[in-house]
Amino acid sequence: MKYGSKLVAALILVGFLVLSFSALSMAEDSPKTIQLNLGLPPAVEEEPDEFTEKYRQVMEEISISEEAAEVVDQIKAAVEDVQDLSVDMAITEIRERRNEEVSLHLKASVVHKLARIEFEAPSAVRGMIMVADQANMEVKIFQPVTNVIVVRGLEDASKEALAALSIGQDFTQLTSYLDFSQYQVEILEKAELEGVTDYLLKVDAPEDEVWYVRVKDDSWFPHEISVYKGESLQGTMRLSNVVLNPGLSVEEITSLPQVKVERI
Amino acid sequence: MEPWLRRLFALCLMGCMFLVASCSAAAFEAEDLPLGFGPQGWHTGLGVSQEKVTARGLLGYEKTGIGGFLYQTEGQEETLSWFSGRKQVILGNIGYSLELFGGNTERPILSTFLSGTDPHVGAYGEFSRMYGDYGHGLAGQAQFPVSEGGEVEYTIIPYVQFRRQGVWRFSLTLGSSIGFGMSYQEPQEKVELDITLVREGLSMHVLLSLSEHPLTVGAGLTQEQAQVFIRYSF
Repeated sequence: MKYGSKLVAALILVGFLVLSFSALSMAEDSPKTIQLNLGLPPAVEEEPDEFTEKYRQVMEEISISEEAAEVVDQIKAAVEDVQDLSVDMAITEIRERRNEEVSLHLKASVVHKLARIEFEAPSAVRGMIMVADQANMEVKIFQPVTNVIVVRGLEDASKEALAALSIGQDFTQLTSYLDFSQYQVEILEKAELEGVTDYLLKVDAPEDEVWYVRVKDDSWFPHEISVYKGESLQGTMRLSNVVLNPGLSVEEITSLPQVKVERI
Repeated sequence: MEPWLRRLFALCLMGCMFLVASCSAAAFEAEDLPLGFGPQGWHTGLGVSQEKVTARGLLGYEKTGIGGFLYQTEGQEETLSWFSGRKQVILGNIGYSLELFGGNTERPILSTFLSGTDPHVGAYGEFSRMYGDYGHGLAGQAQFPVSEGGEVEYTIIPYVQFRRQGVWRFSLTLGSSIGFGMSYQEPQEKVELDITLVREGLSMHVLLSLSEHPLTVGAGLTQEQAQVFIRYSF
């Protein structure tokens, strides 16, 4: 009886398969009818893009002098096609009672997807070297106090770390940061020294910020940016020894002291 | 107990420790089996350690770990042991560490345990500050006896250090013993050296890690007592 029920079930299964197969065969033999809808798609009334409209309105409201526009265009052109760069940065952040000053040397390459930061000041970070490798999604940090290299994943890095590294990882951010064409720009000062003209621009940035940007016409790369919110100075970033497209090699960016490596 | 019987007993104990080590030590991150020769003859044992490293902000990290050793010396019936729990915090160029320990041997210098002492508990702390290639720091250690009659021992060790083909450290030892010392750590930490001269005498230790093999070779000399050992890490 036990084997009988199994046999019945097997027969039902075989019968079902045979019927299914024959039905499929008959369907393949029958003529096919294909219906194509070649009519034009129903006309959709295009709604005006709200963002584009607002952008256009804002741009129309912006009226800057011809000279300021030329300076803004020159800055944009200088930073537009940067593939790699080497720059010294001095960042001063104004806190309530004290100033935080950080000096560093940044090397970054879009081609190699690498960025390197060598900290020079304050003494609490002097000698530290950070190498961000976007291809391998990791950050290597040389720690002088323990004389080791700590390796950690980019996905584990804090938001601050990613923000600090993003400028080296993605130059489009740098170019958009230094593209002042969408803001109201005014030339406040213009001084000429040894054939080089130094401009001081006032940029009405978003979020009620005002940027004071110094740029020289020998490189058209800003060398000082001061950020004000209302009347108070928020911070200043000074850029020096700027070399655009120096053709940095992977070794130049990634070389670190030959010390013990620890992974987090 | 007859000497041959004592040796046999010690060998059996070592064999048992090896078997137990291979089974139970798998719970730890790193284990090693030392084999050494010192003033009391041959000795062997088991070392274990467990460490957790976590990031702290962009430029910092912290290590929390436990570790310790068990030793059996041929000439002594008492097993020597030393265990510790530690925490190290690195924030930029500033480092702090705190270690709480207990055992019946001295706190190891470059993994060398030379002599047994009265059972004790203690604490070791260190503050280190670098300014790029050079820096300074302060270490302190206090040791409290568990048994009656023991003495509290403490040392304060201010030091300066610099990096030049490794880390060189020059220190003063103040407190229960007074002296000065020097240590060197090769960049890859394959060679480490420690020399200290205190009132009680000269102390020298060297540790050599063989990068191709899971072996560490060390030697120590303290107050005319010498010890050499080899450690197999697994």
